[in-house]
Amino acid sequence: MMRWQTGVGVAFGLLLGAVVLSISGGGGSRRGLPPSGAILAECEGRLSELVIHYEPSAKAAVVPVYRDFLRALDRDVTVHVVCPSQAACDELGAALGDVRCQLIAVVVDHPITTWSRDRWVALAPAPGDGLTTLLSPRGEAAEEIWPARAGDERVGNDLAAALPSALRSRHSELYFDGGDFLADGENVFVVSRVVPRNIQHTTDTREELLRILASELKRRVVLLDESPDHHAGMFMVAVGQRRMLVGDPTLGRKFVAPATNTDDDSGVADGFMNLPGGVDFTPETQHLFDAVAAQCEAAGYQVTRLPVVLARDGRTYLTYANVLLDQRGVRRIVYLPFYQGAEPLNAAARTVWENLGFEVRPVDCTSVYRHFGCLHCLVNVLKREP
Amino acid sequence: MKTKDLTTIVTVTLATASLTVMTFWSGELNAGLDGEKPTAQIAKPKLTAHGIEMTLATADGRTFRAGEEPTFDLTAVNTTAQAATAAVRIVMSATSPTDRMSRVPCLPASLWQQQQPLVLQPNETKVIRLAVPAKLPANSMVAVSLAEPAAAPAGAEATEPELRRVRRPGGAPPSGIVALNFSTAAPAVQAMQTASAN
Repeated sequence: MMRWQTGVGVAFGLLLGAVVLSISGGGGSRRGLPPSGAILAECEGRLSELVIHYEPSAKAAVVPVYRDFLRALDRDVTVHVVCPSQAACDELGAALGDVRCQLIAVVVDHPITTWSRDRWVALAPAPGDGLTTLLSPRGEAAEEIWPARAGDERVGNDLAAALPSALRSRHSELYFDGGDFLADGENVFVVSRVVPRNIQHTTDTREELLRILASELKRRVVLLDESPDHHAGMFMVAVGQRRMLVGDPTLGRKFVAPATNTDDDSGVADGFMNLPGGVDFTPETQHLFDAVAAQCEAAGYQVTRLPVVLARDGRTYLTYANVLLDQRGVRRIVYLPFYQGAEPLNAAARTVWENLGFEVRPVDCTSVYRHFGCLHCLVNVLKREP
Repeated sequence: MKTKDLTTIVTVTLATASLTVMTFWSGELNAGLDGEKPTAQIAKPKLTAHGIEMTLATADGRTFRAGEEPTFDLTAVNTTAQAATAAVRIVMSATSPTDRMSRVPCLPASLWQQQQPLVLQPNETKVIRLAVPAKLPANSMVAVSLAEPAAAPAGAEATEPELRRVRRPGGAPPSGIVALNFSTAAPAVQAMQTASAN
């Protein structure tokens, strides 16, 4: 039989425990997390450490892109190459030939895709803490039916294990792809498709989603009300000083050959660059790009439009926003995709970048755009130097 | 009260308080640390409109496979003390990977949609069975969305021109939810894909 002293103690103990939990916030999920800074801005600082994936089955698609890009990088850039085997890393090294940047292999023992950008976002070290945090999503889209995507989910941990003195890995409470975010030094723009992936799955409301995003990314969050159903880097890029470049199908239309241009009201053109289903110039699609531009302007940005041509499948883009930006002193460099067979379009986009004062380093992305991504999607940034 | 009684009370109090805090806090301490995935998730996504809470489940908790025509139960609960009316648009869509090199899956293809009017008395709960006249495709991720008819259904404003037109200029952002997600990939197919990816 329980003594009365024990009963009183249990009662006081439960009360004391409840008080402690109440005062401390109940051990909320943000408590106990290691410190981290803001999501890296994509337009500030010198490229220092990058991450790419190499999966041998994607050799034909990615090697031409990597060859152009890695050969154009400066000597002081380190590129970590995530491969499913040492043989894959050796194969890539042989295919690339001489490059000036330093390549470091990170061999993992599981399937991966070749798309590094979406796996994690880098959060700068917090003051007094030297570790960059790789924030991975809660899970990968379609991982149930896509084994390589299930493997992708582990890459943040793999990198942190390979570079323990520089990185830590953490999974977010939220579902996202790294490409769903576009950050500059002030704001992070978040594409609208993040909302249905999270509302009533990880968060109750849109307001709670915004709060968690702001807490995790430590930038002001601009959630795009309407945007093309793709990653942000496919249709917009921040270049600093509150200027945003946003794709514009109308500008791209000028460069689609008349023979393939649309001659009816459907807005669908056939033949150009073998885009699946033809080219999409529909008003509905144009509206989505214009809505992004309008929201950027409402957020205080000067908007410059870039030509873009996209396919009716909604996934395949000839985009010039999918770039890597590098700032070296006063020099501003853009690693800019181009596509063989679309030379007038390439030239028009290049002019936009040059008029903004960028040194253009072209990267041939002809082999990869049909796989729904481009240069920025293949390359993730671990570190930038001031 | 003797000193011994007081000692017992203080000891039991501290032990109980410690156990209470550890029990209700320890699961969260590790959330997100060291690359571990958070586990807490909303079990039953809910759309609320005009005081009516709507949830969706497969009929009788069944698991539907490729080739079957699924049946769902839409549960509508009027949480107010007044009669309430609303309508909900239910859309089932499917996505499959295109090829292993793709960055993202294809845009989801709409398989079926229906607009369901709801009229409920104060605090009434209704369960409406929905038989879908469409077979589930193999090796796909299937999503069933609920949305108010004025907005495009979440995650389904995709390939169909008639759905795209829902997002007209000046329209409100989508306010729907993905109520159900499931896969029709057979475990054997997944294992085979894993092996080939290696």
